[in-house]
Amino acid sequence: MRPILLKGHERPLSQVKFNRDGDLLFSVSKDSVASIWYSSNGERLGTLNGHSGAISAIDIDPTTTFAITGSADFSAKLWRVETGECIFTWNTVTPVRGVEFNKDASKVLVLTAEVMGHPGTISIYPVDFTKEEQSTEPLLVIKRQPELGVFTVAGWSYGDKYIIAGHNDGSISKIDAETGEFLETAKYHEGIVTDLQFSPDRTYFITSSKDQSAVLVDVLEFKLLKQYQAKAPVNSAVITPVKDYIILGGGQDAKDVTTTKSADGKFESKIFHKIFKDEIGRIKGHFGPINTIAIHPKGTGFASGGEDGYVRLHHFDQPYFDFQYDVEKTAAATNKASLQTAS
Amino acid sequence: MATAVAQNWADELPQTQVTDNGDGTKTVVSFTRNQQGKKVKITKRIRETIVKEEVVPAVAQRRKWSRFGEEKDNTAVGPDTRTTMLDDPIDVQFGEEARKRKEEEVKKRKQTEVTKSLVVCRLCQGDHFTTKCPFIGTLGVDPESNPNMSGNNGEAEGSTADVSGDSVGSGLGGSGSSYVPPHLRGRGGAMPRPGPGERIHDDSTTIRITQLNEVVDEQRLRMELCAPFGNITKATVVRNRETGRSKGVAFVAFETEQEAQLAIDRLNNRGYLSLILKVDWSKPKPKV
Repeated sequence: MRPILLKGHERPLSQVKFNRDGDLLFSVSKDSVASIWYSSNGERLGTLNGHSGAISAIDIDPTTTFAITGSADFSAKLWRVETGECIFTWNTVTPVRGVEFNKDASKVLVLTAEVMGHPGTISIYPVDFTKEEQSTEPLLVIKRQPELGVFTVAGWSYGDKYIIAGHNDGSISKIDAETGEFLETAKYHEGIVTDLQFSPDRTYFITSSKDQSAVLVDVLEFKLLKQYQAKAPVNSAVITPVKDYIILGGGQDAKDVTTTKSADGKFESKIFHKIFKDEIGRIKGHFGPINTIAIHPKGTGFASGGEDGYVRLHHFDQPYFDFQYDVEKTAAATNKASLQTAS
Repeated sequence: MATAVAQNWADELPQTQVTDNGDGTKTVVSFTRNQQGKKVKITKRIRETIVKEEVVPAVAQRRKWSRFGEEKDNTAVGPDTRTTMLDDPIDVQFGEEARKRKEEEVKKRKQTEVTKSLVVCRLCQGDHFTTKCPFIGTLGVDPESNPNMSGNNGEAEGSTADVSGDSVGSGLGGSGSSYVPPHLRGRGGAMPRPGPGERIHDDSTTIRITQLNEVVDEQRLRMELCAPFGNITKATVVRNRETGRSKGVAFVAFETEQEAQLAIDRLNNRGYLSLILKVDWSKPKPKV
């Protein structure tokens, strides 16, 4: 495997994301510029310039026509991907920490931080791409419950039915996307929840935490399915399509990096088996903690963005797809044999 | 101005020539100027293959988009080396690595166990220093309550000849009278402890190579000579202290005895750099 090193940012990466077809890779960093790359060869298509503060999150609509970014300059901006022009800006009272379109990009979720006496909220704004102006009046504002920590991550579940949110005290909550009612809350982590990513069908999700673990939780019953233990804080976790793997990225905290060797910092992306929970591979390369990981929607590769300011784009080799546990091999063999005897 | 001056014909770069070799390959001869201003002729033999890839129409459409933002004025074809670089290939072994890592962990745990057992309390035989013993109040006062202590005393009674060693045991209990030097204390305890600077050497996996060519250093020893047999934990060439010249003797420690045995079998009496190697265990093995 030969990673492509993308050097478009001068400051730590905050999020990387593929569009739905997987041909474009979007990366945002603390240097207030978003970059768009062709995922096949790493060529930079362009940048989205306009924010005046660190960008924390990006999302792309299903047709890759529009993108939304959230920034610490108290705004979320809507962009036309083809030309890189900003077409609308929502202004917020506190820095934006997360943005995500729903499945048909008719609504957008904007997560704001809790600073300066303002409560952290999840606001849902309507989006209508046929119009020039967008509504600045949110459809719904979800305030955090006093017994739960501040919102750190949020996303839409299947069918846009629920909003799943992660808190800085390690709890995860399921919120009704229509009414804003807190339906369920569970505390599967001891530390701050750093990332939340869904399975391709959005029926289950993975959250990562600074407590050095990641958990797989199903949306409907909100039950813990699997837990993965890393030996360093986990900043990002993804569920891979095609193969039953989990990729975790993280490492020693940025403030501790100067006192750690890169070998001890655990700055590798770790591949776990989704079902057996074993670590089956490591991909090294970053020389700082990994802040964000994104998986190609077709499962053919992944991108990781690090505190070191680099995005590393990996296209998987055959061994990645060929790897099987012995039990899987025997199961496949017996299955084949039984099919043959049946025919 | 520079363009107005007629250039010397010798300074002009010839045109790039492309010739078809007929076997599906092409030879491209191009000329460039290097940093010293010298002409460089580059001859490349290339084979063109057309790879067809089917993509969604939207993806094909997006490939034709023109650049924008900070890339607007970039005219480079394909990825720009300023922002995009191919990194060194990395070899990811699935499954294999996890197994190795587990083995390492087990090994590490064993090592810590060894270091732990080096510290033995003389009172309760626990893995802490005697001064830190939680039973120091109870066991320390009454040596009879410690089976080990009483054993020592019994020995002292039986053989009066070995006074210096055994009196220490009882001395710890507080009944000893004569001074005992620190390095003799604890004799008859659970195990002899190494003194400062004295390390425990396990020579069971170390081999000695003699009649080694002087030019061979540790690096070559590791990489060339012994690498195929297994993991090398330590490799040293014996050198003259003043001149630093090799004495033609080297010691190599492997991880396991099997690996060391293999190295002995394969290397002994083999010619290497015009000398015939003599390879054997660094210390003679005890006969089983």
